[in-house]
Amino acid sequence: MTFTARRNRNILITLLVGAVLLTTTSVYDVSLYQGPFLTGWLLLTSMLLLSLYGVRKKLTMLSTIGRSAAWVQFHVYLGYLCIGLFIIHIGFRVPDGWLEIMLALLFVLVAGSGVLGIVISRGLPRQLTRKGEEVIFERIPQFIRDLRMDAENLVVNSVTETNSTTIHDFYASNLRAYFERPRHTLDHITGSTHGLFTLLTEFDNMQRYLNDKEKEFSNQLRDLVVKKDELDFHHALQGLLKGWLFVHVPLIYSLLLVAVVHLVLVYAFSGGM
Amino acid sequence: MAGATRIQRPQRWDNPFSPDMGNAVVDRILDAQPFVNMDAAKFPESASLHDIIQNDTCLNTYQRGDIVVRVGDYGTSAFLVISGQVRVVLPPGLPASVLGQEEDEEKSFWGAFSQLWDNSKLPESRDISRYEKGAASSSTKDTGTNIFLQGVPQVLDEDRTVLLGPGEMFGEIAALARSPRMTTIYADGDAEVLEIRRQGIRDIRRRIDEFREHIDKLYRERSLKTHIQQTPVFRHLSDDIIDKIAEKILFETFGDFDWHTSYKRFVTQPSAERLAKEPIIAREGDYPDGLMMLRSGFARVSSEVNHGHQTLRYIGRGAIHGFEEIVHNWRNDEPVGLQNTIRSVGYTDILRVPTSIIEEFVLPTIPEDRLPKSFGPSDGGASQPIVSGVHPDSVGSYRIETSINTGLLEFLVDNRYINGTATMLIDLDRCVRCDSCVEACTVGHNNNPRFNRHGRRLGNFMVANACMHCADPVCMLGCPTGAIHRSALGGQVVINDDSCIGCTTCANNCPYDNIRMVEIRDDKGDFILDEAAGTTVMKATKCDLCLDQPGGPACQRACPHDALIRMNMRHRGTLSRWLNR
Repeated sequence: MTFTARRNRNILITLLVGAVLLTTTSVYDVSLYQGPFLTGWLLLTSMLLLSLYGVRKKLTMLSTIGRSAAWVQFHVYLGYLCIGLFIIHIGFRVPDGWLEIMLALLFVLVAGSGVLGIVISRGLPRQLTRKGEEVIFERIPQFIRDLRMDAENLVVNSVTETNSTTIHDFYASNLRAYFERPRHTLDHITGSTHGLFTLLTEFDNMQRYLNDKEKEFSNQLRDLVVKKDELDFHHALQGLLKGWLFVHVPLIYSLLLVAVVHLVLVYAFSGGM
Repeated sequence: MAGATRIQRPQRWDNPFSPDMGNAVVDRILDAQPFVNMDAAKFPESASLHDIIQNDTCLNTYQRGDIVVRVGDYGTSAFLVISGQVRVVLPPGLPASVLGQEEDEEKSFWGAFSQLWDNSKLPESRDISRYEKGAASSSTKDTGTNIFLQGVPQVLDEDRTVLLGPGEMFGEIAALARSPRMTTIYADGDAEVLEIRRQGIRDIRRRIDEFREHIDKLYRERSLKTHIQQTPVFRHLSDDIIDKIAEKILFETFGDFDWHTSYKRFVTQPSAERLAKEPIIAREGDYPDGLMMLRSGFARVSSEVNHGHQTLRYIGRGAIHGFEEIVHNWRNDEPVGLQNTIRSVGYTDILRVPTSIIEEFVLPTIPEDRLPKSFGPSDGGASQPIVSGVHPDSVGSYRIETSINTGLLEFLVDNRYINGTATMLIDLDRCVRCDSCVEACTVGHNNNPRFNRHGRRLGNFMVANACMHCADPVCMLGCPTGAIHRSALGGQVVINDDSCIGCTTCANNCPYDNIRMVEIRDDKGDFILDEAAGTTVMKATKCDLCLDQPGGPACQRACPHDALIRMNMRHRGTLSRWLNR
């Protein structure tokens, strides 16, 4: 099955289930039952099911619980349903009361980070594939250290072989900090090339002070700057692909905790409904 | 390393094939054919004929009905009948239920689950008691507890069989070609059969010319007829016709059997230079003087495009080439030449059936509507094969229309990834670099990952550094202990950690750098050292396709975005569908 066919099928199923839920809650309301009780319980159950994916990820050795990819599909589309359920549950209005506001805010953050996760999971891998070599995230700091060593050796050699400090001075003022650690993270995430463009412009400005021999060193240094930029790019995008989970997952547990408190309070003050 | 554990470095024959091969037994074997005529002086003192018989063979006894080898099993041993007789079951053979074929043992649900806390916290930790002399199991033996064939008289009545007596050999094809057993063989009465593991056969072949010639003769005689019978074009023919075809068939070999050594040198060269080094089996435009059948290895089918060659497809064992052209020329007065060039990729064994034989015995027996259409200007030279019995996914079928991008196809062929039966392909446009695959692999292997999520790539596809479980596993060549072997039923290439002596032969042989040598530690985390040399003891490690885990390769199951697959590259149809999802 192609990805498009799978997506169409899943969207159709989600819409159908959503329509059934909407009809059921409408009928519930018309029948003078408390609709929020039904949607609340459905929402809590769905959120618990969604959080089970975290457990699934740890149980890689168990074949009977299904492929991780199937769980992700279930997680994503149930997540979309939850957003719909949540809107129905709060009655299409902004909740009042500090606990409800906090709960709603947590839900929005969890759902928002989830949607963001889908967007970046589909978009960023393509960008990573199309720029530079494939590099493992944990090895990037080591590669940056190697590049820094190469750059510093180049600068020292330029001084000894050309008797000129132009490249050394340029390195000290413009590149030392650049080679120390990953830079221009926000630029890379937002798709801007401002950081690299600025550095390369400075390279061009320096050319007027260089002789032919120095220009060779300058060109080699420029290549290292471009390589470092590619590593920074991978560090930024791979970091984001890993990092969004550090927002999404803790928020889920906070949301579940506050949801349970909300549930207890609702039943405590339900007045026998 | 003051606290390091010291052991004696494992040696080739620390764990002989069988502990029961005493001097008396060995002497009796040496007095039997064919060993009695061998010149023992041709063997070096360090690996004498006596030593080989003692350490690389095992004398098995069987009773009537005991199965010696089963069809489909993978094995690396050949067999020699010492006394009694064994019976070879000819095609179509016995049903699997009669043969009692069992699955490999895998971890239970609880066994798999408990890995969460049972796994060692240390990298490459081992239980050193397993490495004491004689402690290792002979798990690479092809025969264990005898399996009894039910209903021998009925088998004799219903199935065609052939008797083999003392001095006769069998199983050499699977042992030498690293292929599955082609037939079932069982004891016809009380029989003694000497099982010789591949390392032993290799050493004797190297020293004794007559033995080598005898093995090669058997190999050619026995595999040929079966191969013809298995080819769809000939499947419907009678035994008499098959015999006539077998008589006329020409054997041709192209390329280098040790292709893996030259491959590493050539892989970085430009495509045109690499292509020029692939021997041409038949050139585009040549007269089709025979039907070419691939007996082993791989071939590239290409077509001239201006000054270069465009790869159209790759073919492997069981495939045929030139049939459409022969059919066209048989029907039409205006003959055509071969439409494509076919080149040997690495090493290729070709059986060439002369065109006259095809025209006389084969074409008249195939209904017209099942033959490929003739070539013509209207169809641009294309024709469709319509011979029955060809699996659409098989590399053996010819001209399977797939939509694999030409660049990718050439990348797969140039880098010999077509050799893989479980090649790890990663779609980098889907991969979020989460390393769930690596983590799943780690959990299934005592906290040690068995592959690198890294490798050569073309466009958005990467072939990761994970064992591909090759159709032609050259890593198995030269292993002195047989530690690297094919598993009994699945055919996965696996390493027996107990009998691996860390010689690095397999790692050096692997053309894809998918075998990693590791320094092992004891349960306290100290490196295990060789008693004599004081150096660390190494073991070869690689992906075993999670052989002992329920559900197969954990890496594929753990991928959350359907980015990773273990692909049998023979299944071009499946590959094409996956690439074009």
